[in-house]
Amino acid sequence: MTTQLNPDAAFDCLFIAGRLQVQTGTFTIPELHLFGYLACLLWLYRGRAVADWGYSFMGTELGAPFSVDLELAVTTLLDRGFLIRTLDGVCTSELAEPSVAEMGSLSLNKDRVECLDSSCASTAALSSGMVGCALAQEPDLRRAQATPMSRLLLEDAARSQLFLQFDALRNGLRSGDDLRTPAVVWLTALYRSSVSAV
Amino acid sequence: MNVADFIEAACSEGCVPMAESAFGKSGVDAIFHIMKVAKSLFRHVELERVAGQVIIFQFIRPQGATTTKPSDLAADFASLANQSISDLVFEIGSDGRAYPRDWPTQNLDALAENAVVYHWQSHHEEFIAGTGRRTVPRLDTAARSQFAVPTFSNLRVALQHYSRESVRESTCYLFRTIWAGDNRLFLMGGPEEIMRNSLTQFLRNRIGADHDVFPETNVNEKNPVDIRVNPRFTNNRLMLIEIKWLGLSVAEDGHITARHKNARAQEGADQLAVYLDQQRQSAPSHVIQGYYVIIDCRRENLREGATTITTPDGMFYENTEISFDPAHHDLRSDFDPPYRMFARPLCID
Repeated sequence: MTTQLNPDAAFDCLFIAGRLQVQTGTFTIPELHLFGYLACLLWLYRGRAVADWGYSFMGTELGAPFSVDLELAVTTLLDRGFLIRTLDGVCTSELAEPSVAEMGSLSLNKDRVECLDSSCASTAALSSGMVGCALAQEPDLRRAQATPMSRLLLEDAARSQLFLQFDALRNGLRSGDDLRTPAVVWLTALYRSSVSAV
Repeated sequence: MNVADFIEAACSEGCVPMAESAFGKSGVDAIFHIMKVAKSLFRHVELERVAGQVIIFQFIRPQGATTTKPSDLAADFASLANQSISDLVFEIGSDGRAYPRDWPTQNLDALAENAVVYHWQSHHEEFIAGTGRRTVPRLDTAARSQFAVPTFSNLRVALQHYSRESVRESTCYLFRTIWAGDNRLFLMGGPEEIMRNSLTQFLRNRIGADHDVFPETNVNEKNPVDIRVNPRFTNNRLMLIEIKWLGLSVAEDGHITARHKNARAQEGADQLAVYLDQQRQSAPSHVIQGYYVIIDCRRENLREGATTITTPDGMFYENTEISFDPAHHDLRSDFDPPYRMFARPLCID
């Protein structure tokens, strides 16, 4: 069990919280895990190693992504007043924005910010609920749903199907290098496959 | 279709790839600005009240082509909430804010040579960029725009919205297929599955970020539940939705196959109550709540073969609540008050 605050998870948490608050007005803790996981997947789409993301995710029994490090970051940020609980969920306090701006401007976070930014930008094209439905079709989360027990996501053996989908995306898009494009296109495709499965 | 096929289709039909292909990264920036502005606009403006068209555009080239001046005031969408609206035109400035504009003097294709343009009219929406034109895929069958799908904080609020937005006027494209005719008098045989799928999709799109919504197959009356909803990070919570419909269903030749009246509503409530008891016994550590949805399609004086109905007969049951005996929702705390959703017919007067 992780007990130390993971700096990557804390940054991701504040970054996603800030973006969701601006874009959708409010957000919930499961959304922080959801968009954190999507950002991690986009990190893989860029051809980077999952180990370099800085923390791992598990698939819950219900097939939702969950990170122990993100959860600890949420708890810590709530305790320290960066996040505030509301009736409907959570919101950021005035302490959050300067921290995100400062950490986000560091060159070592540049690649990370691209993934987080593209993950959160997807809410312009799809509702958070749609993103949740779409990601539930992501190959490793589908496996998590099929075997109702918590297990680590994105381990070596589980990534081959994901990479096949990424190859299909790269082939289909060909030109362009903006990560928001594959993010929205992939989520749209996964969402449509989820609807066809109902 | 497998996922690879869906990916291929999304690549070739997608609006964002088109904007990127036309204008590169600036095109992607513009289309995301436009989508954000459209979402913000549709939070304030009810699209049913827009008689004309909605246009939102952002110039890409030449550099500094924006027509915004320092003295321009950004649009205040909240002020549009209660106005009757014909056309709405906004330009997105370099600051990412929307500015009201008069109807463009050039046609949209000409405008799109140097801009990304969003166009909504009569529930159809599209993006135009450069020489490309793509319809925005409507992923939600109940929404009037892909950018008008709100997020709700809980199931109760979502069900109230489903009644108003999807059922009342049969606005949801999926739900609409339950009817045997255009005037919404009789149901097709066996509409339960369509109702369940329509509600499942509605809920997934609106509360699906923090809830899992599973459609169930009704095996028998001992297992009547239609939809299960689990909050994602609270494993001991379970919300069960039972759907029943009232009204008349017909076969393809028009003869009546089922007449569901008040007794049917009571039957559904009793089934859900028994099921909740069973679930409580089999999973005592779970907090289980029952939600009973009644799709009310009753019409007064409706005879076999009828094709039209008057307003007094068609709307007779709109405000007529159903009495339950026993009223499980009054007797127990794990049973929400029934959500009766009246589906209006089209009347001849």
